[in-house]
Amino acid sequence: MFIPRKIIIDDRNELFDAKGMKYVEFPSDFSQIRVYTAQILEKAPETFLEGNLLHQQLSEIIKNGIKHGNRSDPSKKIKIWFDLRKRARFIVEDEGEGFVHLEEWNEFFFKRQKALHEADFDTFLQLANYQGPTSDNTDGGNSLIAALEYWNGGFIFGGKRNKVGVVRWFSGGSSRSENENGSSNV
Amino acid sequence: MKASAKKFGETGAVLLLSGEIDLYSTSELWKMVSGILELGRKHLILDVSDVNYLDSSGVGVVIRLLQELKKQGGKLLVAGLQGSPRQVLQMSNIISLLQLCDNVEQGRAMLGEAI
Repeated sequence: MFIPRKIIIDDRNELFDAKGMKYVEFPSDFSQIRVYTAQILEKAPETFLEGNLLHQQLSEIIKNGIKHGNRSDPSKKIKIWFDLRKRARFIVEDEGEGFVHLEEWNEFFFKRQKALHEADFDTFLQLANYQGPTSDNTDGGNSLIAALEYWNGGFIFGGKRNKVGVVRWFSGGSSRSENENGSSNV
Repeated sequence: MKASAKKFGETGAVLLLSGEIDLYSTSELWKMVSGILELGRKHLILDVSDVNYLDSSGVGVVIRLLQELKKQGGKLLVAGLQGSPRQVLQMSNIISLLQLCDNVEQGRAMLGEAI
């Protein structure tokens, strides 16, 4: 049975409730994306890291905000709320015009999933990477696809499309106590 | 990221990659890959056994390489894929397009007389 996934917009989604979450903001410096990520994850429970998967996936979101949202304008901020207690939860907001090609991307993704489902690998290869108007060599065109898979508790865009809320749950949970990283219940 | 290439046969090449393939290194990687393709090397083995980080930019290079090799009637084998790079390729479904092998020797044997 073919049940396609897609990106959802839901401004009232509980993933955007930032109550009790920690907050940081950074200038849109493309060269510092992975440094920002490392800073946020500095006190993340070891079980959440999964090698470097969490770092990689959070970096993708920050990159999208800095590059496609803020167009690497250093005067524009990338704002990040995070909670690393029991699960990895983030809200990332940029100051750009939002993901205006979201519907086009969902159409692309539907065709891509259909090709894979039908084992039509020639078509799938043609659709393997999405290239939008602002894409270049540093855009693999596949970060959102992996994101929908990785963020198993949700990957939702806000109404203005310049903000995402994401959650990943871990089967082993957190080995840290609730107060250890300073977050409170959301 | 560190990268080096070694030719074999008439049309083969091994690309030995190590370290982190990320948004800061993929432009350089694509330049190298393009150079190899321009030399008529269309049967490639990508040795990633020492790659410990791969992001969507790196996956994008793999996709573009697959697309190019399809046009040229070439083949791509990926040797030693493991850890988080393997998970990233799985999450983006690209692993379904790849021919995997344990190491370069096995890859060369799989290519057989194609080169």
